[in-house]
Amino acid sequence: MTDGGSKLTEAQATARVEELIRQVVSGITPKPRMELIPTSLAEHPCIPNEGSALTGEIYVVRSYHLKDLPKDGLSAVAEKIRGNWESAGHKITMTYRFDEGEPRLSGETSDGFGLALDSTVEKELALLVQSPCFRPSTSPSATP
Amino acid sequence: MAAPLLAAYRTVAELAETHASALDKAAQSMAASAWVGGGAPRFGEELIERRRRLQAAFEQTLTEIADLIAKRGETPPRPPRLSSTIEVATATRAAFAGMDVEAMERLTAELDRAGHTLPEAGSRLNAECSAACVAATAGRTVGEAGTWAATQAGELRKRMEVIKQTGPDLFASGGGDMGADLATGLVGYGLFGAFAPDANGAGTLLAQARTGDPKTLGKVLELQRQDKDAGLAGRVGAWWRMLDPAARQRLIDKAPGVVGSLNGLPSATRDSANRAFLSLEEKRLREERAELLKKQDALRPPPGRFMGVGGKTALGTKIAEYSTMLARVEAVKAARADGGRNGRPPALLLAFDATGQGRAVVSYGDPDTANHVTTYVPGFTTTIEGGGGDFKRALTTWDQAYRLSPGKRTASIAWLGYDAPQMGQVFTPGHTVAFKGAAESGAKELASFVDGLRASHAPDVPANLTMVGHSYGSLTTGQAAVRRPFGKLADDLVFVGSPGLGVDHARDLGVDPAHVWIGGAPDDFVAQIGAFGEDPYAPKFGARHFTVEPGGHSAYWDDRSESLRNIGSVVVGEYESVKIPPAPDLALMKYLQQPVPSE
Repeated sequence: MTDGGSKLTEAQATARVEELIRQVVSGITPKPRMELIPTSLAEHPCIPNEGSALTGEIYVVRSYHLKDLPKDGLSAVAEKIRGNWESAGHKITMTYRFDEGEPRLSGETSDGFGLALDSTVEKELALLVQSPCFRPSTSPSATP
Repeated sequence: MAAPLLAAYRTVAELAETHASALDKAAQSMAASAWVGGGAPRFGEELIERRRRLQAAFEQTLTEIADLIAKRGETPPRPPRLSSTIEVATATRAAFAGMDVEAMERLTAELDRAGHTLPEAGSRLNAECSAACVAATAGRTVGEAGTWAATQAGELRKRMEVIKQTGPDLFASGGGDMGADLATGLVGYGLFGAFAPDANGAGTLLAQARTGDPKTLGKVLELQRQDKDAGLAGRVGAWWRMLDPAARQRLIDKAPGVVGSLNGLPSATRDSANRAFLSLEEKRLREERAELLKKQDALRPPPGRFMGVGGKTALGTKIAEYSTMLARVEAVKAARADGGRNGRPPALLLAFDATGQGRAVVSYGDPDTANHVTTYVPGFTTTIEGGGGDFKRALTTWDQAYRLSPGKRTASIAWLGYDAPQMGQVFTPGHTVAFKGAAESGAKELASFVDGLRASHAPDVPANLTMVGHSYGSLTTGQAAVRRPFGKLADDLVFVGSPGLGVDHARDLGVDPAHVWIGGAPDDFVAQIGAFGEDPYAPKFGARHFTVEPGGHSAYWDDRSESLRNIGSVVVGEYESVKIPPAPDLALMKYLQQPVPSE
């Protein structure tokens, strides 16, 4: 969510996002091939709650497709991801369609980082971790 | 003495058996194709009428000869019943359905065959009628049916050749081999263009424009803005496809911004024309603003002298207008720059106009070849120059669709194509956010735009279209759906932060309510207004709800948000993955409404 006002730097946000990704996929068997979704590396401006003018804040995202997982084992992998997230002391805020083998879940940390896991059309998992909004050291200018 | 009559009867009966059904296959083919619109229904009607007359001619002749036989005291044979009705198919097909090229070629072949056989059959029927002393009109009718069929076959063949020459990409699946489809507009207004009704004069305008007069295209744009004809984009698309490349280039060179705004043209063509126009506009606006700034400098009083503000204010206002228009150019350039990088597809500019309140339509991905097409319609206070967020929403929607369906192509469109109500227009009739007027005007332009998406989409590429209306844009989208019933606007309608859609039930939007989706953040006050029609969040409205976390009125597109992920699921057609909010606990709600006991 667009929390706004976080004092992070881009480097800190990136490091934390990547650390959370590592935490959350730890111990998954079989080990998935993590394919970075290239849109992760784009700039992600925070869009404010009212109107559409950009505020100059951004967030960092790392988004992966988890490949080479058994198509009928996605829920078990999602359970592992949930377990890892909770073991690290973070909160799970939503779980959906685990019984149907097409799991979705959401989570958040106490410092505003978010987790999103979804099942894709091709029966793979899509994993995403996002930082809260922060003002980068060189702010993109808002649209005049 | 009835022997000659009996012989004539037998000959005519043989002719009838052979030729009365000469137009059956062609008529059945057209009856099944009338749904494409344009000139197809009228062509079909005329063909069916010719067939009816053909059959009636044989029936009538046999009846008359049978009567004469009876008058001679003989028992006449019972004339066969040759007439049969053909049902015209009107059922709507999927938004991007095409027409099989082979079916059109078979139709032409059938008409050709009838064109060869019926004139001679007519002559022979004439001869029999003369010999039997019955009226010769039947023979003439049969002959004319053949002449008509031959003429139409020739015309269709000629038009098909033009289409093949000017649009080879239509036959990419093998040069006209099995499986190639034609866009419905190309069939309705290209192949059957001569029969297309032209109540609004668009056909005449386009015919004038092909000679190189771009001003007439401006009049076509006006028809487009007023949504006078749901078939206009198909007609324009067919016209463009059948123009020779030199004529197309002339028009692009003379009026790139107009050509780029024409719904129905291929998206790549619109992008190319609009990019050229964007550059020209930027140059023009900079030069004209520079002139104004020089004038302003010339009017500055020397130091220490005061000058009245009247003239300066008018000039200042003008300069500010130019600055706003240039800001629109910059916003569109920035939006385009996000395409083609970081895994995102190139951005296509489908419309641009810096003047007035501005217009900009940017598609991330080519909607003509995408499997999933989505169009985002923003609302209150949307401006091009302040539209960074709106373009970003289309981007994150693309990102999400790719995340969920990386094996398919997606096009995500930011449609800033109408005069969205502004803060300063709250008391301006026809523009205020308080009433439907702006949405109704916008709905006309939006419906026309979507017609264009359908007309230019490659018919061989299966696709679905999802509209996403936000805030007042949801009302605009809802009203556009009302203008295109029977699901002709889109496969799915998604509304977020909606103050109302101007209708009382989801089915009034012209699609199956199972494809009307609504999401509202619990803390989005706009979603609680219910200002236009029935509250779309009320259970009795009949829309399907999806979960949205708290985040106010515009947090629906955060990458990790449930809202964006639900929207993405609809866009890629994974409806089962859309998370539906749990049903409310009525007992708890009732408990919470109880007054707190006093101490």
